[in-house]
Amino acid sequence: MPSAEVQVGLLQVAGLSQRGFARILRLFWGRRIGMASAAELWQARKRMEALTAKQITVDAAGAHISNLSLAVQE
Amino acid sequence: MSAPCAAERFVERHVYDENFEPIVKTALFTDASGSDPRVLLGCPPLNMKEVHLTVGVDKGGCPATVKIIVGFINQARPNIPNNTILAADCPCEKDNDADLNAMLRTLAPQVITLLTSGLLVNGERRAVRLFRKGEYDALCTLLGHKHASETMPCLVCLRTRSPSREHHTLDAEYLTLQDVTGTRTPRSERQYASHGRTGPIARCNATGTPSELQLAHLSVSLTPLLPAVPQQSFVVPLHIALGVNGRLLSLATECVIRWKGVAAGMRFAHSLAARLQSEVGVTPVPYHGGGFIVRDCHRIGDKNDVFCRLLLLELFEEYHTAYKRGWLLCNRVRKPLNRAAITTADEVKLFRADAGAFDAHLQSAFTWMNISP
Repeated sequence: MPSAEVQVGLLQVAGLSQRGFARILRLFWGRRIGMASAAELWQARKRMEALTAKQITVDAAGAHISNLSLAVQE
Repeated sequence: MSAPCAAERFVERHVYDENFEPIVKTALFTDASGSDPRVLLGCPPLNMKEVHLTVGVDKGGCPATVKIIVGFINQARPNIPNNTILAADCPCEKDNDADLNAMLRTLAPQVITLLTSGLLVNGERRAVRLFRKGEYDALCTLLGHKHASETMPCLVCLRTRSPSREHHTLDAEYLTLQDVTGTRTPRSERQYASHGRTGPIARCNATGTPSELQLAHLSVSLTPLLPAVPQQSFVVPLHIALGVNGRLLSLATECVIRWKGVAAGMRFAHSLAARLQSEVGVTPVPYHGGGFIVRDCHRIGDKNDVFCRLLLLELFEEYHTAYKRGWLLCNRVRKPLNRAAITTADEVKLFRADAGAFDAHLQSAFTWMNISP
C-alpha cells in the first residue's frame, strides 16, 4: 500500500476531497487495506509542506521557489 | 526528477546528429564538469549523459502575471501543467525587461547552481541541457535582444528583416528573412554575451555606416538574463501557428483592398469577423492585440472553407484558388506543430519541404506580401 505522502499525491491527482476520501475509508473499511486516516493524511501534508523543495519566497519581485535545484531534483 | 525515476517514468531523450541518428552518451557528470563553460551555458558536451530542462516565460491570466515555468522533458507528457514547476510568479502589466530582470535576479543564480551541480538520475549524476522557451517578446527580453522590429530580428540567425538600401551589404552577406533558400549564418552564445556589453557603447559612438553600426551590436542591446544558447531557444509552436493564421486572415482583407479598394476591404473585414464568430466559433480576446488564443488557430485552420467561400464573392477565381491553396499548405505545416512527440528523419524532411512550399507559394502568388513586422 502506498505511503501517506503518496496517498496525498494520489488524492490531488484524482481531485478527491478529504471528505470523499474519509467516506470511502469508512464505507469500505479502508484501514484493512492500508488507507491512511484523516489525521495521517494531515500529518503527511504538513511534512510535505515543510520540505525545502516546496518552500517559496515572496519579495518585491514576486513569489519564487526558494531552492530550484531541490524542486527539480524532487 | 526523483518522482519520475521512482515511478519508472523517466524517458531517455537524445541529441541527434546531421543524419538524425541519436548521439551515444557515455560520459558521466563529474565535479570537474561543473566548471566547463559549455555546461555553464546549459549546453554540455554531446557525449555526456544529460537531462533536458526547459525554462519558459509566460504571460497571461487576469490580472496579468508573468510566470517562469521549469519543464522536465524526460517524461512522456512534458507539457501538461502537473509535469511542470512554477518557479516564479509576478503580477505585472507587461513582461518587460524591468519586471523579468527583477524576477530573474533571484532565479538566475539558482539556475547556475542547477547547471553546475547536475541532477541525480537513478543514482548517476547527469548534466543539464537547458532550453529557453516562451513567446517571442519574452525570449527577446530573456536574451537581451532588441525585439522583432530590429534590423536583425531572428534570435537564431543573422538574417536581416527585409531587403533595404541602407543595409544592402548585410543583406548580401547574411541574406534576409524573405529569402527561402540559401544558407543562414547562425548566431553564437558568445555574440549574445559580448554584444550585450558592447551594443550600447557602439550605439553611442555613432560613427561609421549603418551596416557597421549594426554589425557592432547585431540587434542585441543587453546582456542576457540567463545563459544564452540561440540554438536552444525556441518560440512556443502554438504561437507560431497563431501568428501564421493571423497573417493569412489579414491577407484575405489585403487581397480585397488591392483589387476592390479600401471600402470593399472594410466591408469584407466586418463580414469575416462575423463569420469567424458565428460559423467558426472563435472570438478574439481583449489582450494580445485583439488576436486569437489557444486552440483557435486549429479551429480556424480546419474551417478555412468558411472564409475562402466569402472571398470567392469578392475576388477572381484565380486569386481565390491561390488563397485556398495557401491554407492547404499552411495546414500541412500546422499539424506537426500541434503535438509533442519525437519526430522521425522523414517527418523532419517532410516538414521542411512543406514549409518551403508554403513560403514559395505565398511569395509567388501574393508578391506584395511581407512577413516581417
